[in-house]
Amino acid sequence: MPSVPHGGRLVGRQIGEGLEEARGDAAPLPVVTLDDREACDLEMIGSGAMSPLEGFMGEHEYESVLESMRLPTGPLWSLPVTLSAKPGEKVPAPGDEVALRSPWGAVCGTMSVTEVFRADHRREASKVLLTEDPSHPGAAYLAGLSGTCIAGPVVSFRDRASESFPRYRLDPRETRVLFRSLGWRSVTAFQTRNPVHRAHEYIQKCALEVTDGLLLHPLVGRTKEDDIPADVRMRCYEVLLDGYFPRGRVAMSVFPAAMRYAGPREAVFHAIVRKNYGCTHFIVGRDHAGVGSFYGTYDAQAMMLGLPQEELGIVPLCFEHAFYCRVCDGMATSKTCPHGDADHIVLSGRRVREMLAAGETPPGEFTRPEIARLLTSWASAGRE
Amino acid sequence: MMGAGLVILVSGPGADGVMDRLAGHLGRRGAGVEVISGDSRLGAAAADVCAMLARHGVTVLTSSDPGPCGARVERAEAAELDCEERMDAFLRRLELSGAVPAPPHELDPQEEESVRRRLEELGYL
Repeated sequence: MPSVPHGGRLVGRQIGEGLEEARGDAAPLPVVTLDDREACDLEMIGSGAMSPLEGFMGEHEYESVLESMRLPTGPLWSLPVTLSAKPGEKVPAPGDEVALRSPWGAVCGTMSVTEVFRADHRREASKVLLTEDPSHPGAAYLAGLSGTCIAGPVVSFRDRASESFPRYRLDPRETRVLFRSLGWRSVTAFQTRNPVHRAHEYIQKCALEVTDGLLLHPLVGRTKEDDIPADVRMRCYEVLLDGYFPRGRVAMSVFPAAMRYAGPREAVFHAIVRKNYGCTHFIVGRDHAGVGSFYGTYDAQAMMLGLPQEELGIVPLCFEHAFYCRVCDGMATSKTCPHGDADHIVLSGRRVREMLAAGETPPGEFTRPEIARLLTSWASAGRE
Repeated sequence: MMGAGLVILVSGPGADGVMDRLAGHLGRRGAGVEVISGDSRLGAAAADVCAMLARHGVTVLTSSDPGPCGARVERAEAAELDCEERMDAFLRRLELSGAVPAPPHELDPQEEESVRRRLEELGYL
């Protein structure tokens, strides 16, 4: 059966029907503008993906998450979810009702302001990202915030007509019905912000050997400028779904979160959120949610396995770095292959990007040929 | 039961049917509900009874205007709630303002069927 939502109840703070009326009600309210990340967070809170959160965090929640990785009410929670006041906009006061405006100008929700507080984002970077280095994209983001946070429960307006990837946009209630309908009692979630290569496919199929179903859940919220765009990544996944996975055992839906690049803490967040989508297992790969060399290869796995598993409520499936071994003539990891590095075909994400930029095609042992064609086609369009 | 109750005044033709359906939805959400129809024998006392029940955390559905009774009063025309989508949107607004409980995290059969239809349309099922 699908996982029990984190905190025991799936929050729903989203309006889909009656959207025009809701927007009309919000029209006279003072406005707080969201940035890309906050807009993603609003959607996730509204849909229940971030259950038990019902809004942007207040100071007590923020401090509790920073210091103990828990909400004040007890459940594990690894990342602060805050809304920053923006320069040039009047800061609302507790008791105010405000309209939340997306970065592209649409009113996308409302908020009942309960608190305004000062956040120490340098300390947040140090605690959550384990660095204040401005070359870390998460630290750079935090350094650009005003430091004034506006807290309170939100209502998110879900405008399906304006959503990207509408064919693949399922909220937690929908994925839960999907899993029940397909008879999946155990479901592994796979999170990625990269195009799918054979190493990913290998660990996805390993997971599929031990659970009833697999939810491919590519992240489509805000990422780094040099990450491969979500629409390209989605097309790569479609190739895999059409040609390399059995029908009825794999579903794909987009994960509308923004990346924080918080490594271990973000891995915990990714797992908890997938529990809310109804998944029972979660794949934690190498350097999960990491960036550059800020985190150790298996730090995220160590943090996940160090938490009380009954509180986490979703089973982490930890995989080592997968590669193609010429001698084994197949995909493997150091757990299953006795051969040395010279026999292994391993390419980093950076190396793949360099190859694509140079007009080279990644080898078939690394990437399925259809996916390689998609990536080279995208890269050549970019060069032109 | 909620800390503060609520009076929902449903007016117009078909009010009794709408109140019954609303009561069903609210009951499934765990709200304490009373329906006081316009032809109840309470007469002029109906408004006082509504207010009293609401003060004790009950969600009161009535077609008799209670006037200024000291409780929160939400007004709706029966014709505005004549289909499930509109009724759902109405309940949702009340829920998000904290006036009625959220539905249980498992969907009721009707909502589940609606989600299933969408999943079929999208090609998942």
